[in-house]
Amino acid sequence: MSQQIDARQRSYVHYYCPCPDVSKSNNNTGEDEEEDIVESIPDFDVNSPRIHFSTFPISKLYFCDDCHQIRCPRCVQEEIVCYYCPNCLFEVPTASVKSERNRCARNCFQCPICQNTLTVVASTEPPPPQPSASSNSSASTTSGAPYYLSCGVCRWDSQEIGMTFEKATGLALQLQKTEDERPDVKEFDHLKDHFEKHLRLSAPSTTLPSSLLSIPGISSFSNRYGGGGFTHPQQKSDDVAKYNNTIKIENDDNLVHDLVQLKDVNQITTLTQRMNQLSDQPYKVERLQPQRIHLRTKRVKRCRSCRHILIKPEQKAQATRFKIKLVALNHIPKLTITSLPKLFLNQSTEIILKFSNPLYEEIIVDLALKKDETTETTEYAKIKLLAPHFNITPYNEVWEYDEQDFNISSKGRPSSTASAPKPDIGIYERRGNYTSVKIEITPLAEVDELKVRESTPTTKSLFFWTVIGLGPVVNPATVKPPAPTRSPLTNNNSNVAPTRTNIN
Amino acid sequence: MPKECFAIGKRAVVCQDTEMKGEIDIGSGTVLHPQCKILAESGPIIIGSNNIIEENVTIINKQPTPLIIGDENVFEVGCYVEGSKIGNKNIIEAKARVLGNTSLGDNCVIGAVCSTKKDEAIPNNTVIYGDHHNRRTQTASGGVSFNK
Repeated sequence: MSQQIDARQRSYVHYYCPCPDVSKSNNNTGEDEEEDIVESIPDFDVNSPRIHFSTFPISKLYFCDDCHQIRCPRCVQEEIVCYYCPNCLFEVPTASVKSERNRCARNCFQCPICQNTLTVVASTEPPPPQPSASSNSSASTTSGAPYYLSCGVCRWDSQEIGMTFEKATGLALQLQKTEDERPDVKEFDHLKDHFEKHLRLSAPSTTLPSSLLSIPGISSFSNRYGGGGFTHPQQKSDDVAKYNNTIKIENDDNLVHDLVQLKDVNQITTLTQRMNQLSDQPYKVERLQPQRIHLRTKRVKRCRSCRHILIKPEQKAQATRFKIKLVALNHIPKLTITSLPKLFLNQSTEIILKFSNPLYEEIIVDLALKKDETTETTEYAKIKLLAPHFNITPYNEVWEYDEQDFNISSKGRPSSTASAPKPDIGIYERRGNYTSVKIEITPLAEVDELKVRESTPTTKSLFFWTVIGLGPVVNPATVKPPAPTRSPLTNNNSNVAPTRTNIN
Repeated sequence: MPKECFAIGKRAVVCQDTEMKGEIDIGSGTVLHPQCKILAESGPIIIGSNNIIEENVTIINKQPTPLIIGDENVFEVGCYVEGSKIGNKNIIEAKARVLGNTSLGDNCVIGAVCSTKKDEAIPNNTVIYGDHHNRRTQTASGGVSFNK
């Protein structure tokens, strides 16, 4: 049974975004445009490594209304709207983000062991031994004075490293004093003082629009090229006086000695734990300290060619809605695999793909495997599309509230009656706003993952490739079906069936 | 063929809809929520006092030796317990599994969806948590002390 679950989990339908194909854009204009669009779409090779970064599930895609194109997360431009803490949902004003080093300035800390959020706990005191007739001796009074941090997942608490607080709020401030005493911070402050005078003279600061702040490091970039270009480089090096270290740090020879004598690997920090404490990256677990939680951003996403806003979230950190939400789910048909029986070698099986239509208009879908072919035989499998041309009825909100089947009555062709003008070959089911079609696949090689490529153009000039992964192929000749091995994706054969859907 | 015999202590609460089979001894103050299953198939189950056994918990004893559960444990929703001995003050979180012959000490925490291996003896104060099931670390003593 776990094999079946594995196959289900490894089957997918991913859509391809042609943003890397910048050089192959069509330059022709005129009445041939539609045909050119259809033909000049480059042939899609499913085995190229491009599918690993250019194909996405439909949940990750956006759709630009103006350009009528799919946009993927890699080809949208982002601008930051606000910074907020994921734990306390406090919106940090943009000015203080940099001074707090992109972390939350309030009580939000991260467990050094498991990186989950820590909660502030009041330590309890055992009740003083008084013979009181009223209270039950099992009730303990919470003194509340020394507060400490505790992790709910791994049960770590800050008392283990001796970190306690006087008040329950403003913990970051209470820690500020100990943070400032650290030798590396003091040394850095010294360095800053030394160079600050020189910096102020030589480089006038340039102000950048806040929209460009999303690119990290850009302010230092402009400083270097904008400001320093005018002074003579010789002059610059003469101005800076020699800097003397003020803080001496001893070499920690004991650490090497301790590491050599380790018996248990649990006494050393893991790489994740060390990377979360970049200031000193300790090897010993006792030297890990809770870090403040990183802030997150809310971003506006724009289409790369027409600068149209695709996603605009609300300003408040607690609000999860979007003011503008142009996602692919609401504009292009969603393909899902509804029936995926186990694929056996040399045995033809039918899989059923469901196309569901989110628009309020009817769409006509044209499927093709590659360049208008409906069957394809690669070395890995023989694929036949049984229903290359079909329509999908529009979406109607009433259907969400009613549980009856809404078979298409007057407009479409109900699949059950025989009086339909054309026989509905290959159409498995037509209900509500979706149509399920059958695809017959005969795997010819025993592979770990069978991928099918389909392209779907629409006559509103929308065409896209999809990659359909179908999971492992099993050789029934062996006694037990082999468990699908977790080989890297480069080994997988994929049936790529480009299907084109024409949406009218 | 184990005989059906329930001995339920005072102030214990056993809801209707629980499924109990075999020889079961429930201590005082223990609460059994509805839909839990205590199946003493091959041997008796002895549950201590002041435990909380939440919904959909399955406690099975597949061995002839009695399964002894201590006091003040919490068995959260959906967990599956098949060990040989459970100590006191443990917390077995939602959907956790204690398999085979393992015995739990005192004050342990088995995190959500985590499971132990079969046939091990888990020492006191162990915490099992995380994605990869078996990451263990020791807690300090319960967090109640006001040391130093």
